[in-house]
This record gives sequence, C-alpha cells and structure tokens, in this order.
Amino acid sequence: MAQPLELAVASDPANLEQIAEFVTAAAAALGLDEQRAFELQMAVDEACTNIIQHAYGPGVAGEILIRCEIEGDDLVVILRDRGRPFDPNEAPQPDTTCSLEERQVGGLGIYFMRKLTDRLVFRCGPEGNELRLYKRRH
Amino acid sequence: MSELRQIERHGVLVIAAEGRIDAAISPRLEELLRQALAGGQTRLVVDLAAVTYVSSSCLRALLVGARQAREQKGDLKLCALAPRVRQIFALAGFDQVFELWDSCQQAVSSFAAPPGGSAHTWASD
Repeated sequence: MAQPLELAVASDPANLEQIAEFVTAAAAALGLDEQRAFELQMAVDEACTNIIQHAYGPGVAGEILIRCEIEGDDLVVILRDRGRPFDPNEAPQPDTTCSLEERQVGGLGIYFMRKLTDRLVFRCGPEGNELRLYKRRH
Repeated sequence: MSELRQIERHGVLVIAAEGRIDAAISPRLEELLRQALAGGQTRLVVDLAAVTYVSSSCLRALLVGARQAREQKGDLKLCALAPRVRQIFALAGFDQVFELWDSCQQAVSSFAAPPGGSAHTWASD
C-alpha cells in the first residue's frame, strides 16, 4: 500500500508524535535521506507546535491538515489551519551565541524552522492559513 | 511513548527522560524541575540517554531550569546525548551553555568535584 501523503489531526500537543511519524514516513517514501527527513520532521514539529499553542491557543478545538508533495527538486510539507495568522518569516531571530543567563526563552522554534528548511512560504486568506515548508530532496 | 523518571543519586536529583521530549512532554519536565528547585534541590542532572528527539520546548524547559538552579548556587547538567540530540543542542548553541557529560555517573560525580578540577566544563560566555 502506498504511503498516505495527507493527515488531519486535532490541534493538541498529544498529536505531535503522530505528526512526526507521518512526516518521517512520507519523507522517506518521497526520497529524502534519514538526515534530511529528520530535519524536516523537526521543522514541521516546531511549526505545528506554533499552530497548537499560538494560532489556535490552548483548549481550542481546531484542526491541522498536513500534506506532503513533490515540487521540482523539493519536498513540500503544507500545513493548513484556521487559527490566528502568523508568518514565521516575520519573527525576530534569537541570538544563539550568548550566555545562559542572557538567552531569550522564546524564538527558538522559529529559528529551527528557518534553519532546517530551504524556504518557508506563508499565506493567509478566507480559507485559513497555509504554511509551506520546502526541503530539497538531495 | 515518552517518560520522565526521578532518581536521587548522592544528593543529586537525576531526571531520566525517554523518547520524544516535544511540546506534549516539556511542560511536565519544566514542572518537575520547578518543583525540585522550589524544594531546595539545586543539583540536577537530566539524563538523555533514552531520548530520541528534543524540540525547542524541551530546550526552553532546560534553560529555565538551569538558570534558576544557577541562581540558587546549583546547576543543571545533562548527560548521554544521542548524536541527533547533540546535533539539536549544537544548532541552538546550547552545547556552549550547558555542561554535557558522556555518562550519568560522570555528571553526578562532577557536583562533588572541586571547582577548577579536571571536569571538562563548557564556558558560559
């Protein structure tokens, strides 16, 4: 049976593990090596965490749709939600070189998303939010 | 499945984590650390031997715990990071701000070592 390339889950941190398993399996099926699949899984985990914690917020029964596609040389993970719009490209970058005492507590998730993908494209409209995470396959 | 176990070793509280420490589990880790520190236990080791993945939420929990522990003249040290987990720490620059030990025993013993001893520590600046 072919690997399913779409998953719909409720906005709940308990579903992050299922999302990770789905992305890892889909990435392998679509030709990413283990390292790149791990990096993509991590970026998606951080993106979904943001959707759960910030776009919908605690206790809101929203849905997250996750779809994997091939686009040229890239594998694209498309995340759709109907929470508050948030473009990760507009968030400030944390300083990853300062001491423990000076470290910012937030911002690391966005940093990982940017660092571990080749491109992030966000758009929002009447249909809700869409974040596309691009990762080159080779 | 992810799990957090607490073990007391020579006056050091070891929290042994297992599996994925993502945003579903990190609040529990943060709460365990908070409770330990509130109870005066400031010598902490988080054993990551059985951990396969940490997200930014876990790093945040560790950062908050370590900062509080150091404020209380203790420390939070980490041990037995798998290569993938170490890679995440390096990406965030967290390998520079935490003491990372190869084994739990080394991390626990390091609390007894005199300052400036042979322990391989990482500078925090």
